[in-house]
Amino acid sequence: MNDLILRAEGIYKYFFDSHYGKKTVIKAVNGVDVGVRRRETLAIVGESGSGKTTLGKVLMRIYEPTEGKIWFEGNEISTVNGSKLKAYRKYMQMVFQDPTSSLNPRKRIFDIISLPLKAHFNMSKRERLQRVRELLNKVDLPEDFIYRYPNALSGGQKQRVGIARALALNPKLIVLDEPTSALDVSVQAKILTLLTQLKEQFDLTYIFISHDLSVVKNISDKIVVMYLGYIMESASTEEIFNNPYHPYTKALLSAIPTVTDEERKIIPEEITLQGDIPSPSHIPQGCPFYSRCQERMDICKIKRPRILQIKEGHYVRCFLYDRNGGK
Amino acid sequence: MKNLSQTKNVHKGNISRALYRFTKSPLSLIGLSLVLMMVFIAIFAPFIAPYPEDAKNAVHFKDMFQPPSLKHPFGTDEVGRDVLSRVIFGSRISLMLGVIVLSIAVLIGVPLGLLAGYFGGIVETIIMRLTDIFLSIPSLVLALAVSAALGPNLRNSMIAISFSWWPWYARLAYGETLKIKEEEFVEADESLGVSRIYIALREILPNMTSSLIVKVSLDLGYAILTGASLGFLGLGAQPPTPEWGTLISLGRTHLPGMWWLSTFPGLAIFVTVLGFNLLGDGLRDFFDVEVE
Repeated sequence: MNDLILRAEGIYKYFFDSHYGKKTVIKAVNGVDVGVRRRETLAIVGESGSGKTTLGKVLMRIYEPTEGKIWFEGNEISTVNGSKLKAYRKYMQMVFQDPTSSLNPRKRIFDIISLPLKAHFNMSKRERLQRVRELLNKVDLPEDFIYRYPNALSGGQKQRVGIARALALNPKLIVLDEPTSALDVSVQAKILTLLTQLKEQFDLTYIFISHDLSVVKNISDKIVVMYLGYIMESASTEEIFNNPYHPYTKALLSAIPTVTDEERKIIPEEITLQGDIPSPSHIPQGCPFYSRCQERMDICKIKRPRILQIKEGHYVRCFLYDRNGGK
Repeated sequence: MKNLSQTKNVHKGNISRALYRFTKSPLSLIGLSLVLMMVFIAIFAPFIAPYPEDAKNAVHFKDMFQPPSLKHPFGTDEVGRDVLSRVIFGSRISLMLGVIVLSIAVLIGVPLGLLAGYFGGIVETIIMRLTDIFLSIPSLVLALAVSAALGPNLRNSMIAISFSWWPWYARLAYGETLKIKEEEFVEADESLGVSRIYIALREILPNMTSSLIVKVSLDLGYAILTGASLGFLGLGAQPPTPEWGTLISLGRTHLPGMWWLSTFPGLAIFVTVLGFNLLGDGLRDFFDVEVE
């Protein structure tokens, strides 16, 4: 337990919205427990609307959790604010989904990457220039990019700048929020390779948020599958790919395109999910996945299944494997 | 939502393209020339005006009420002063009024709107409801009331107009801030531990400058028009200040016989407002932004 770099227990995140007097509560994250070991990559997987990005931002303390506790290296950070929170920012960084929107279009690359240095250290401009050059080298960008504006860069290059910015403070943990989903497939592979190299080089821990299991397959050690803010299944990457239990995980796996026979052996037969993910402001009473589940039973409509360990390190939230849970 | 970096920015690469677009639009160029002409006239008024002393209290009773002629192209007024000289000096007052009013409006409105948009909560409620209250009163009526209460003169009319003008900038800055706040770089800055004041001033504010420039250039004409309206109604600059609205008001009693007394100051207002409007439209295309 003590090599967990980040641990979160019972995380809830609700957004309250009031529209013309009609109040709605968006339940984005509902009681999530996660832990990440040092130098490990934890993948959080789910469709859009599954609450995975919100969870990432809560863990990063961009959002304050509605309920629940977060520990970073044993120190509780769920409610810290101001200068204390700022101190933790040094250790935890984030790479954002949209490389274009995550860089201020009015700033040069130098200003963008050196902003965290300016915020945290009393460095001279010369020192910062030196550091920014170093960081650009680390992410394989030419040094003369420092005077360019983000507009002059391609999507992949922008994402490299985003990664360089996250590395600037020498963090221990980086939350990667779909870092490749806005990029072309060929660029995606390069960014993933870069991320793997950087992880080795700087002893980083990653939380990798993605909607795509195939992206996560080679990079993650552990996978958490989320649906409507609930963890549906969590296990090691191997377990998820070889022994998926939850119908939702199976459906996600079947959505991965296959090429070789070997791949087809692993990927279950095609299960097409019907309909869309329900709105997080109207979560179904029973199992969140009830409306789209292929193997639903009567109990699933009435009662919400609990999350259960069915093997060492393999947790599933489904009545198929929890016959007593309904009693 | 539109992506900022795709629509809003005129950087090195795009600037020549935007400039090209600007120069290809004859109306923008006309607007620019009119504005430049008025600025030139205002700066060099003492050298351009044929009778600079007529801008003040000069009296030449033997020349009174002369129709336009070569000697006095815009005619003379009831005490024999050259109307052309007075209109030329009037450009100084009108342009100064426009610039000062909008500077005050921007300096008050933009910080308030930024504060309300970025910090939200109770700050937002207080500032924006106050703005709504101001906007619910017709701006000319509000300016009239303030000017009448303070006592009619040029300085007070500027204060009065600024008083009714800042809410538009608060609202513009508020809307822009809400839009820019959604961009991921603001969240990125927060996650980097950058202070909120820095984010508001150095990260969000620069992204709304183009919208502000366009709105200011469009508003300059209207501010001048409002200043002239106050002058016309006797609640702005007082005679013998050669303010255009005041000149029209004084000439009105001699209409239609001495038509030149009101017509030429009116034309000056028309040309200036037209110039700023055309320029503002051109700048809007140049920066490719939408204002209101």
